[in-house]
Amino acid sequence: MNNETKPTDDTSAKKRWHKPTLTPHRIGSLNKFGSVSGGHYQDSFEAISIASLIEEYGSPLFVLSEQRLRNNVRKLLRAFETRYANVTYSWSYKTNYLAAVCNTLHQEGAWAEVVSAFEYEKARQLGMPAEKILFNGPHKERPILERVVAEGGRIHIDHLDELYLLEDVAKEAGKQVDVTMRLNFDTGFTEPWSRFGFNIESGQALDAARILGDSKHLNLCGLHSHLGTFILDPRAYGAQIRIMCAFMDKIELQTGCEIESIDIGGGFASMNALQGTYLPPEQVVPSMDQYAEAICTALNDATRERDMQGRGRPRLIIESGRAVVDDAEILVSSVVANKRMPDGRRSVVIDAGVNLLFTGFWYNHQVTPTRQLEGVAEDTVLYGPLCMNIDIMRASVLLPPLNVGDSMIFSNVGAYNNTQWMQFIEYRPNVVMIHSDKQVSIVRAAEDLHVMTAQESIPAHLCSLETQQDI
Amino acid sequence: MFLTPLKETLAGLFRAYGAILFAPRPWIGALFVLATFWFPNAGFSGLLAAMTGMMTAKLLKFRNLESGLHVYNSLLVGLSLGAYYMLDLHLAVLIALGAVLAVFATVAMADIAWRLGRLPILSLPFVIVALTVTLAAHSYGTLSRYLLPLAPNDGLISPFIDQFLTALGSAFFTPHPVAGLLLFLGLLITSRYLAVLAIAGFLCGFSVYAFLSGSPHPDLVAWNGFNFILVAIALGGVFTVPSLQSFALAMVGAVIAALVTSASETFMLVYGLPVMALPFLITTLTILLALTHRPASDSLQLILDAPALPEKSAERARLAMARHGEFNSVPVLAPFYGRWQVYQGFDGAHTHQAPWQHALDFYIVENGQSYHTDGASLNDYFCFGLPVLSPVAGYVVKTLDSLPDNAPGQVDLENNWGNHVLIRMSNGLCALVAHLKQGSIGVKAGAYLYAGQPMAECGSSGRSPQPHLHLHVQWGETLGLATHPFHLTTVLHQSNDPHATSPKQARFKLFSRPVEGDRITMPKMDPILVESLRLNVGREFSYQVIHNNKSANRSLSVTLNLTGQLRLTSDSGASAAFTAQDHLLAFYDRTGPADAFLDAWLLALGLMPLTDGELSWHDQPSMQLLPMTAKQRWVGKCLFPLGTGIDSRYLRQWDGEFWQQSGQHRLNFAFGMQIHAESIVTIEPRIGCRSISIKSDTGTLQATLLEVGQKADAGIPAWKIKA
Ligand SMILES: Cc1ncc(COP(=O)(O)O)c(C=O)c1O
Repeated sequence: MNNETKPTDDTSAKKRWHKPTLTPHRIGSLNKFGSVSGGHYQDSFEAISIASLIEEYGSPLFVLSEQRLRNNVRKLLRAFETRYANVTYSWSYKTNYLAAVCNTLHQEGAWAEVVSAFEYEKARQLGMPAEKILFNGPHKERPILERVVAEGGRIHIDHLDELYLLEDVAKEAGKQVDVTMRLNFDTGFTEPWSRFGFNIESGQALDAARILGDSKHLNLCGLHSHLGTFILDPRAYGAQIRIMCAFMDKIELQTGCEIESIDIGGGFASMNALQGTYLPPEQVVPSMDQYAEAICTALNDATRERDMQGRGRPRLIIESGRAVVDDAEILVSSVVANKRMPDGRRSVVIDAGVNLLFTGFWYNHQVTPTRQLEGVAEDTVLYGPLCMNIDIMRASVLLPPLNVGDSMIFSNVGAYNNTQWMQFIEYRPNVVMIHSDKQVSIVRAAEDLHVMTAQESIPAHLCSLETQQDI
Repeated sequence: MFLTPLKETLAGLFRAYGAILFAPRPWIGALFVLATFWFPNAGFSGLLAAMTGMMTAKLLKFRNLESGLHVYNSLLVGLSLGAYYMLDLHLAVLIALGAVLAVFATVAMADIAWRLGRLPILSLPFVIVALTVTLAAHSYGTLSRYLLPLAPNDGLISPFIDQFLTALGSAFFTPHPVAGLLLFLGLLITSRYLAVLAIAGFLCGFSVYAFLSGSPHPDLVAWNGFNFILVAIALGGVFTVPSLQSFALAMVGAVIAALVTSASETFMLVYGLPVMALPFLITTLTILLALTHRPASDSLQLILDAPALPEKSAERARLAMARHGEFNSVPVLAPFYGRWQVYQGFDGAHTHQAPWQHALDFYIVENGQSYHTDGASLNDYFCFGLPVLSPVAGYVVKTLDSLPDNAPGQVDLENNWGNHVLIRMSNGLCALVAHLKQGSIGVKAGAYLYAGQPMAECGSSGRSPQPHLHLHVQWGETLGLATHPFHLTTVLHQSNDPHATSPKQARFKLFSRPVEGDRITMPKMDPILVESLRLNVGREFSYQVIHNNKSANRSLSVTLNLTGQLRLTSDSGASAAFTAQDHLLAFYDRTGPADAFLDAWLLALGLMPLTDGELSWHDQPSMQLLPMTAKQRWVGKCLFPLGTGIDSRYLRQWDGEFWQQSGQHRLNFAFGMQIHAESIVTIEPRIGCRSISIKSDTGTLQATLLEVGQKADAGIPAWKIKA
């Protein structure tokens, strides 16, 4: 993005007239979020002008970059594959399951990580072979398990009830099913996500492994854990690997199973500012190489013995979601109105709200105007279009005055927005993708009334708006 | 019930006869038996000796009975006695004693000769025993002389040809053109190349013999001329891989044999003894023993551990060369994980100059840059600090890891190699990995490393303006000695050459010597594919095979032979050897009867990289595997008497359910004539090769898997699953 931003001060130009602004005098009003967008603007994304995009596809608008997506996953694979012999990257569908996104990543060799029947079915529909689909999550019902078992997908067991259900499904199918066990434990670096999988410290995980060891139909061959999301300290992963490998050695010895894969989940941070952190993301977010170094060093150490015995190193599976897709997508939004709040603060109403930018609840997204704004930057609230009090896109951002119709870019919106957005009050807009060759195409069309009502049906007696006599 | 042992005994007997002219097939041996009976006195004597020898070896349980090795020396003792004495009870006793002695002599001497330099014992025991027995016979008055009824010049074909055939016949103590003709036919059927060597060797040896002696006595030529023939066959066709050089060696041998023959005749005459095979043995064994002290070379390859018919050894050598590339180049693994780029190749302009011209430098480049941000600090460089693996298996000879890493752009000209690890391989050569990061070396001198073991980190010490990895193979254990050619093996090689057929596509290679700008990736093994193509001993596959509209059920099984070689054996008896390693399944050495189904398997699946992802590769399997009409086959045999390779290109893709592997196979005959075939294979995860189809100009073959099973072993029941 650096090369797309331009300096504000054009010293050669004559002083121009500025829209008058009121600036309440506050002592020490340093912006606590570091870099402020006030002085910068960005009128294009991946060399396509924002104005032309709005003209063609409307506002608000999600814009994806295929090339950034590819570069990101290549960077991840380079970082890991040059440090460890057996690396598999698996795309976490829930992060962004637009088909164009998934297929771009699948083309780069990514497997699929899904957590529901819907996501599994979508991955299959996109053509992913079942054995390259990891099926995670706490909710898997019998019918979908039956399908996954029949097709040979990779099931990650979350709890004992699922274990028993799967055992039954496998028995009925007359199959030996390879399974992975999801684990949780305390690394000492992060808040453990103990609601998923089997706990190691309490002995629950060992019990489950023993049950699997005795099972006639289930064959334990993988371990999985996901520490959480937006993990800023790579050492957490080193600890995770050591705990998982120690558990692996233990259960291999005790139950005779053979672990073929170690899945470390996702959680790598992206270049976004979490609300409540003070340093800018450039200073706190580790690079992919730093994550890879911590993980692969620990894994190479922990599996040295196996390699020496010629047993091969287990497959390392990485399910990083946000770090791969976040900066590959922006949201373009336009100003609907300017308003002065009773407390004197300036507020702007824009056409995109938290209905589209769900992650606005925990990130302070970077907001960048699309033209050089003149005037003094002022603390501004950005409100979305919803007729709801919660619809605040940025509670506080320094921006010079904007005109109605001006557009702005919310950036690093690739993760968790196109999946967690909600259909609420407004239609959801177009999502376009800028291809590697700079062609642009719609990858998800804007909703309209037809889409919105397509699933509905009206009972016969409610079809007419006439008052009904007999009810 | 009795038939099998009887058949085996007969086959062993016949093989012994065949072995005299290196012909392995029993029925050719039977033809030779027939030849010896041109003079029944000798024929019966030989048979008697052979059977005695065989029984002795069997009673004493000497190993390798079936090879006929023990028996053929006994046989020769019998033949030689039968050629000089009347066969009666006295001679029979002498023959029996000689035959028994020959068995002991063979077993005892074979072992000594093997230890001496893997030398074959050939007919040395025979000559020693025969001389002993003949000397003894001088003092036995009971024996009566026998004169072979040699009709002076029956005139079978032409005097000279007759002379050659007679000489050949005397290898079996049957110096007669008709017997010789039978033997020659057997030799011709066994190997055209051996037949050519026999003629050429006789010509060379005879010319020199005649030139030096003025006018040689025809009887001497008839009795001893076979020595020239045998020397030529052994040196040029059996114990070396056929080549121009080995042919020349064979001729030189034949000429020397002429000299040795004259000398032996003069010497032996003093004691009234026949020369027999003495010149052959002296010449062949001396030359072979001397050659074992010579460095290996591709032009003259000695194959004392695996002597074979020339057609076969030529095919083995050709396939090995096609797959491993340059002879004598040392195969090493890529010393890193992931994809790296070549910074400087062999004979590189910067520093890879003689005697260090055989060296590779690697680094990592993304979009033309080897660093991110501004490249001012070492940590900006993509490859800095990445794991470095041992490229070979061996002992660590020397390490250094105390030198600081240079700031980008700086070099340390005092310590050229910087921090390094020097590893000695079992072949005596050493591999050097240099410019490592300070303090990163995790192995110590004396430690044994396996190939692929992480041992250090990539750095920028020594003569290194930016972080990179230097790799070479060198002669000795002192740093900086002259380098030796090597190549990377089992890697994905992506060529940077814009003129290459598909520069973007990485190709799996067993021989890769990348040049500057090429990218090398350490491939990732695909465990599912490995499991799907696992060929454990006892594994059985049955297929329905439709070949040119005829359907049959056929089966393949995996067997282990006595030398520890794994083979895929078809129900027709045909088989091929294979090796299965982590990254590769490779078939070679197809033997046995014609079998279109096994050939189809070998053509379609002959070389299988077991790695992940879409993959393409080349191979040059034997031309015998290509479906051809009888006429084409004949033309092929004439054009390529020693065989040649098919240009086979393979591509494997995953189609969502199966691996689809296609192959394009082309054989260029002379005059623009070309034979072409196409193979398609489907491989099902965890089941194996589900179908094979071959389409060619001569027809189609379609094989569909019916069942996969495993033979029972002690304590392990058999199993079977339907495909
Ligand atoms: C099991 C699992 N894997 C991977 C991810 C992706 O995580 P992230 O986007 O933080 O990399 C998640 C997210 O919650 C997850 O639950």
